[in-house]
Parts: sequence; C-alpha cells; structure tokens
Amino acid sequence: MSKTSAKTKGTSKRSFDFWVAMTMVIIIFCLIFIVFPFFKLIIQSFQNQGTNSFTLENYAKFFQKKYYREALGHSLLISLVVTVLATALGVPLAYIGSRFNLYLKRVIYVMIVLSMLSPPFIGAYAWITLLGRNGLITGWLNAIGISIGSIYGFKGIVLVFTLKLYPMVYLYVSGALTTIDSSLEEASENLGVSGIRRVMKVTFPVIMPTILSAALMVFMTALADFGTPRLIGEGYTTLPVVIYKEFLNEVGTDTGFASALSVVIILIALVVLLVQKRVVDRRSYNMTSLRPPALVELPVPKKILATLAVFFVSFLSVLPQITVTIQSFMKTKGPRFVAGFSLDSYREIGAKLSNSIVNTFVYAFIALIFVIVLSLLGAYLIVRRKGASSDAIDLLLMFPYVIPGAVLGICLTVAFNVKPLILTGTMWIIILSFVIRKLPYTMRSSVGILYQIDSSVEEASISLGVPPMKTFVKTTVPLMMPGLISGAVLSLVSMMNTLSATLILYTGKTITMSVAIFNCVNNDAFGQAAALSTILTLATVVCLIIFNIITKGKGSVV
Amino acid sequence: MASQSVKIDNATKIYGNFKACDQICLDIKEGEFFTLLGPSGCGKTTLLRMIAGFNHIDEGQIFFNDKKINDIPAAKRNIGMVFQNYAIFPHLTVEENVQYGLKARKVKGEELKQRALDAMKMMQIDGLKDRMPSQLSGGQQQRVALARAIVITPDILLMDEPLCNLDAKLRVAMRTEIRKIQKKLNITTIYVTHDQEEALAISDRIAVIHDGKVEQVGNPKNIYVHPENEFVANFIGTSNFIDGEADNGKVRISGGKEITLNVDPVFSGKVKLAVRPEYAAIEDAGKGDIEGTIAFSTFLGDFMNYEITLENGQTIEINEYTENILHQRNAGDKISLRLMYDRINVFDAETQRSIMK
Ligand SMILES: Nc1ncnc2c1ncn2[C@@H]1O[C@H](COP(=O)(O)OP(=O)(O)O)[C@@H](O)[C@H]1O
Ligand SMILES: [Mg+2]
Repeated sequence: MSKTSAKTKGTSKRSFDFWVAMTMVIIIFCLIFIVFPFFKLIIQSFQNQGTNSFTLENYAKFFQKKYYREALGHSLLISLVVTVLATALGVPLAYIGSRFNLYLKRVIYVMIVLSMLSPPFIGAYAWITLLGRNGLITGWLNAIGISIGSIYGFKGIVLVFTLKLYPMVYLYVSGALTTIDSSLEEASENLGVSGIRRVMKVTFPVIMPTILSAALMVFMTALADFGTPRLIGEGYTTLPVVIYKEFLNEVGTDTGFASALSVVIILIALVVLLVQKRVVDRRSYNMTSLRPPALVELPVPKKILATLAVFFVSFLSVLPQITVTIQSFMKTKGPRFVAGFSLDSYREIGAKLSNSIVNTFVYAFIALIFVIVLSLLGAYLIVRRKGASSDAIDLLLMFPYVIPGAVLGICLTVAFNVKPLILTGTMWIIILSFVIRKLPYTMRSSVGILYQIDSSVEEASISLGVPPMKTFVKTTVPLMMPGLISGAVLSLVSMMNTLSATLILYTGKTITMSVAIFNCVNNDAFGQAAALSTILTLATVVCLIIFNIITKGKGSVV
Repeated sequence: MASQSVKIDNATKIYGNFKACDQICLDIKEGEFFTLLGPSGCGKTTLLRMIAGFNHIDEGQIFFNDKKINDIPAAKRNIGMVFQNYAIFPHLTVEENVQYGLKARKVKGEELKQRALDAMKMMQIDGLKDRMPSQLSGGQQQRVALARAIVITPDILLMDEPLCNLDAKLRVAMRTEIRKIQKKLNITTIYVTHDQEEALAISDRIAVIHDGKVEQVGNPKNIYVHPENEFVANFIGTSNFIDGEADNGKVRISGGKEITLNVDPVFSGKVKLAVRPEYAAIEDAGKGDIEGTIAFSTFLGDFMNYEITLENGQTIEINEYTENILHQRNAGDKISLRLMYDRINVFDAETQRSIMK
C-alpha cells in the first residue's frame, strides 16, 4: 500500500515506469547540456584565467573600464530605442493590416514573414551595399549631388533592427487583434467612445499583454544580436560584439572575462523578462473570443492609402532579401558589383563553400530529430503528468529562450572542451546548440496542441486494450502532428538561419551557411555572400510553403 | 467469454485529505444494468475510473468474478468504456474506430471486417463507416462510441454520462436503445448519470451516491417508493418535507392532524414527512389533514402544479392531474390537503434516516 500510494494516476506499472524513466532522461539531458554549461560559465566568470583561483577581477575589469561600460550602455540604448520604434511601427500597421481589407494582402504577409525569419546581419550587409560608403543608392545620390550621412554606427544598427524586428510585433499583434471579442469594441462604441479614442481606450489596453510579449521578443533579439552591430556598427560597440572579441581574441582568449560579460548579459535578459512577466501577469485578461471582428471595407482612395503605408514598410524590410537576390546574379569586380548578368558567384560558392550548404541541412535535420523527440516527450510530461518534475522540465527547456546565442556558444565551449565529454570542434556541438536554442518553438506548439487533445481519447485507446506506451505512439502522436510539424518547421527555419552560437562553435570543417555568409561579408566577397544568402532565403521559403500546406494556411508563425 | 460480476469492496479514493470515494461496497451481478446515480461531484466518475483502471484504488479491492483486479493495468481489463465526450479517435474513420480494439487483440482479415460490421450494424452506423468523426452528428458519434466499446465483447461495459451531450428527445430514444442492446448482449453494465429520471428508466438496480458514499442500493421502484433517507427521497423525484412529531406509531403533522402511518412504534421524536407532489389530494378547507392557502398555480399540460403555504408556514408543491381536477383553485384560496398515507415516508429529523416499518 505504501509503495503504491505515491502514484495517483495510471495504474499500469509499465507505463508508470516508462514515464518516470523519460522524466529522468529529460532531466538528465537538461542537467548535462543546459544546467552544467551555465554553471560552468558562472564558475569561470569568478576564476582567474591563469591560476583558476577565485577572483572578482573579471567583474571588476568590466565595471572599471569605460570601454566595457560604454558597450553595455550602447546595448541597452539600442535595445530600448529599437523596442520603442518597432512597437510604434508594428502596432499601428498591424491594426491597419488586420482590420481593413487591403490590396495585396498575401504579398504583404509573405514579405513580413520572410523578413522576420532571415538573419538580421543579412539586413545589415544588404543595407551597407545600398546605403554604405560604396553603396548603390549612395552612388546615385552622390551623382546628383545629394549626400546622406553615414549609416554606420548607431543609426544603421537601429535602422536594420527596426526593419527586421517590427514584423514580430506586427504578427503577434495581428493575431491578437483578429481574435479579440468584437462585442468589447461595440460596447465601447455604444457608450460613446469611438474612433481613435476607442482604439486607444479599449482595443490597445485589451491586447496590451500581447504587445508586451512582442516588445520583449524585440528587446531580447536586439540585445543578443551580434552580426548586425559587428557589420554596421563600426566604432559603435555593443556587448555581444565585445563578448566575441574577448572570447575569439587572436592574441589569446580571456575566457574568464568573456564569461563574466556573458553573465552580465544573461542577468539583464532575466531582469527584463521578469519585469515584463510581472507587468503582463497583472493585466492579463482571459478572453474567449465569441465573435471576432469583421474586416472593414474602406472606400477606394483610403484603401489605396492604407495599402501603400503597410506595403511600403514591409517592402523596406524585405528589401535586403530582394537586394541580395539580385546581387547574386550580378557580375562582381573585387568587392563591387558591376552591371551584367552572371552566375559566377554561384560557381564560386559551388567550388569553395558547398560544404557549408550540406552541413547546414545535415545539422539542421539531425537537430530536428532530437527536437521532435524531446518535444513529444516533454510536452506529454508537461501536459499530462503535471507535477514538480514536469514543471522543472518546462522551466529548464524554456530557459535557453532568453540566452543570447553567443553566450550559449561560450557556455557549450567551456563545458565541453574538457574530458569526460569533448564535443568542441565536432558537428555535435553545433547540433547541440541548434537543439537547445530552437527547441522552444516546437515545444511550445506541441504543448499547445496537446492541451487541445482530450485525454479521454488516450484512455479510450487504453481501455480498448492498447497499452499506454503504444497508445502514445498510435494515437497521441498522430493527433499532435499538426502542432508538432508547424513548430518543427519553424525550428528548422531558424536553425538554418542562426549565426551567433555557430560562429563561436564552428571549425573549417563544420562551417554552416550563415557563418559562411558572415565570413564572405567580412572578406568583402559580397557576390558569394549574396549567392549563399539567396540559397538560404530559398530554403526558408520552401520550408514556409510546406508549413502553409501542412497548416492549411491557418498556421501562425509566431 | 461470458459476462462477469463485479464486486467492489470498500473502494476508497483519496485526493489530498478529501475522500472522493469513501469505502464504497457494491455487488453487481452478471448481466446486470447497474447505475451509479448522484449529483455532480459526488464521486461517480472517480469510482468508474477505478473500475476501468485509470484511477488507482487507494484502499479496498475490486473483483471481476473472483479475480482481484487492483493491479491489472487498464489495457488488460477487457472493459468496454463509453466516455461522456465520446472520445472518438478524430484521425480515424468510423470503421477504423470500431476496428481499433479488435486490432489490438490481433483479430485479422475477414473476422476483423465482419465483427466490426456486425457491431456497426447493431448500432445502425454501417452506412457511415467511411466517414470521419468530424462529419458525424452528436448522436452518430455516440453510436460509434458504443459500437467501438461492444465490438471487443468486453466482460464489463462502463458508461459515464453517455447521453448528457444529446438533446432531450434523442436522449430518450438512445437510452431505450442502449437498454435493448444491453439486454440482447447480456453484458454487465455500469452506467453513470446524474439524471434520476434516466436512471429510473434504464436500470436494473441503482446505487445512489452522495459525497463519495453509497446512500442506498435498490431497484428503481424500491428506491422511489421506499427511500432510506432524506437525501434519497429528495434526490429521486421531488419530495416535500413537512415537519411533524412521531410517538407510538402515530404522527402529528405540525399545524395539522394526528395520523396513523406505518412507522416504527418505538420511535419517538421530531420527524419529517416526505410527500411527493402527486401523493396528496387537494380538498376544500377543513376536509383534509392539514390546512393551507394556494400561493401560486401553474398549468403544465398533463397536470396543474400548485404552490401551497401550509398552516405551519412551510411551503410545498402539489400536482393534480388535469383530468382529475374537480375545482380549479386560484391563488389565495383556502384549501386542505389529504395525504395518501400508504405513500408517505417518514424520516427521523435528526439522523435523516427512514423510520418506516
Ligand atoms: N484528479 C483529482 N484531483 C483532485 N480532486 C479530484 C480529482 N478528480 C476528481 N476530484 C474531485 O473528486 C470529486 C468527485 O469527482 P467526480 O468523480 O468527477 O464526480 P462526478 O463524476 O460524480 O461528478 C469532486 O469533488 C472532484 O473535484
Ligand atoms: Mg462525472
């Protein structure tokens, strides 16, 4: 009796053992690959590089040197400004785009999704080729005697981030706006609060939690991104850039100091996350949408105007993709593009960089298998086996969400460059970074769909004689498929596009596409960068088309 | 295999410090249609899930025939279960749903097809066999759930409020059908409902459950006519409770006459008389057992429903069949009630237990 009283659910001994075993497996996975690396990072940050003795000098160095304090200031300023701008741009556009029937709706949607999914640094380098010193548009403008200021530094970073990140706000907020209960707004109109005042007083406050979540995502991405400030920032250094420099210093890495910087950036991310959570929790309304609002048909002149506004901004944000695609088919002379069609860039990458393409797909697909298995098991534990250990799994698996890629790269390096488990230099460490960072997408969508599947369906299967484990495979998994696949496609796309962690973890043999693009840009091989970016964009588009087919056009990418 | 009997011996389920099922003892005979009846939250589903194997039996034992099943996993209990929300597999066709349990039993080929077809024919869904569940109405889904449960020739059939999602007319038609099929297959069935009318109509025997405990077990008529306590009298059908005092086999109605009822002569003390709305006749003032005033009257087709304020201040409801009505009574009329002595149950006001002989 005392032995069995602990288990309240599921009397089958075998299923009981299986899920306990799975809980253990996942917790051990988390301990080895998430907790241990971060633990090691924290320890390193308190260690003297040479003697390994305890020291505070890494942190002292950070706070004493103006250069580092400035980098921190820059990071915070950029993240804040970008968050404000992206929200200010994304929310009104989302309102227009989701409430009014515009022309070219599909096109606008595709442009917005595409720009959201591509790596930010491609935007940076594309804008450089347009507005930089030798830029195309700069050239035209110079020819007619107009001089625009430099886009390097603060201005450029903000431009690239804003155009790259407002789509996140747009998609989140459109989602909320199309499911809000329209009777709320009608009630407000009834009470005499209408038009723009109604929007400000009722609509926006109601979707405020969504706006805040989107803003958080923007802030985190801007804070963590390394490629953009590195390429377009020039003298304007941010924290991730400093972390890379310290960690990948030619004259000798200062792991302790890089670790201390990483801890600082994690702390900032955590504080922002907690503040945002508190604010959201306090004004979170549970809404069941009874009747979603109808699309308003505007009179033609207004409709044209509204379409133009949304189209213009979304076109700007997808302009980097268009630019690099065109450039990839142009003749190059050194770092410059010259007139004339050519496939030379593709030939060059075919000869030199084709392994990066193969690597990207191989790593991403292997990682995807792990992501799918972990998500299926993890989602089941979180939803169906509620308890302390499943809460822990939930938290642990979502934690890497807030960790900048660079920091994860450093964590994995310091954790797995010594015995007993040496992974550095192998493809497995890159795959590991893919799994850890991109798991949350699939996990979230799997948890979401499992909550919608009534557990009595599983019980029906069991009572018909199919044991719990087999029921999970035969019934639960097929029913979870739509959610699982849509999350998996997003995980896949973002694995293929990710740069930060891989840049720290790769070697010549394990280079991926986004790293190769980054290196090409750094070496002024813009033609090859363009060709690789185009292939990457194409792969992304193919994944999105698959996503759309699977979700029958009803899926949301955020 | 022939159907089995079920013996539930002190089954208890504990959530924290709350007993959802408290030492439940039941003996369910082979082939019997047995209903667990009680208000929502009384522990019916919890008990049913213990029998099915989805809830651990914290204390006590459950036997199928003579075999203790406490530690047999749900998948091995050979139970047919019909869930409240049907729990049809949404990704399988009707036919595949029905075949699911057979395939788990390694039934193959012609036999698989034939047995599934027989079950679908019995539930009259053979015409829908290629449909997906999303293309079925609620009633049709219910039939699929039932076909899927009986096709495996289970030892015991469990049903948890299977009709509560259907509309009123369909509910009545389906319950008759369930009853007929159960008798035809002669399969031991444990049926859960909170609807006392449904329970009375469908069951061989009923266990009335309240707060995790069994209040009374008996056949429908027995439970209706001879409730063992106030809860059962109130829950099965409607009862008015009139205060009184019993002594030496006689009962004095508070504010009314002293009458002789078939109560335990040894009992002495405060009592309650349970009077069903149709077990009292309305007479002119002064002619019955207790005086009252019509407070409100409602015409309900077959009968008139009167709300009556008694001399002692209590309010009760009385029904009078339309065809029997001699005088139409109106609000404010002074009347007198004549109780049907042989149909009245008397309860100890303190213990709420029946003191009938
Ligand atoms: N898993 C559980 N944890 C805690 N309490 C539960 C659980 N399941 C049921 N209960 C409680 O047990 C009582 C009986 O529930 P249930 O058997 O579902 O009632 P019924 O089916 O008769 O409506 C209810 O008070 C319910 O809240
Ligand atoms: Mg229930």
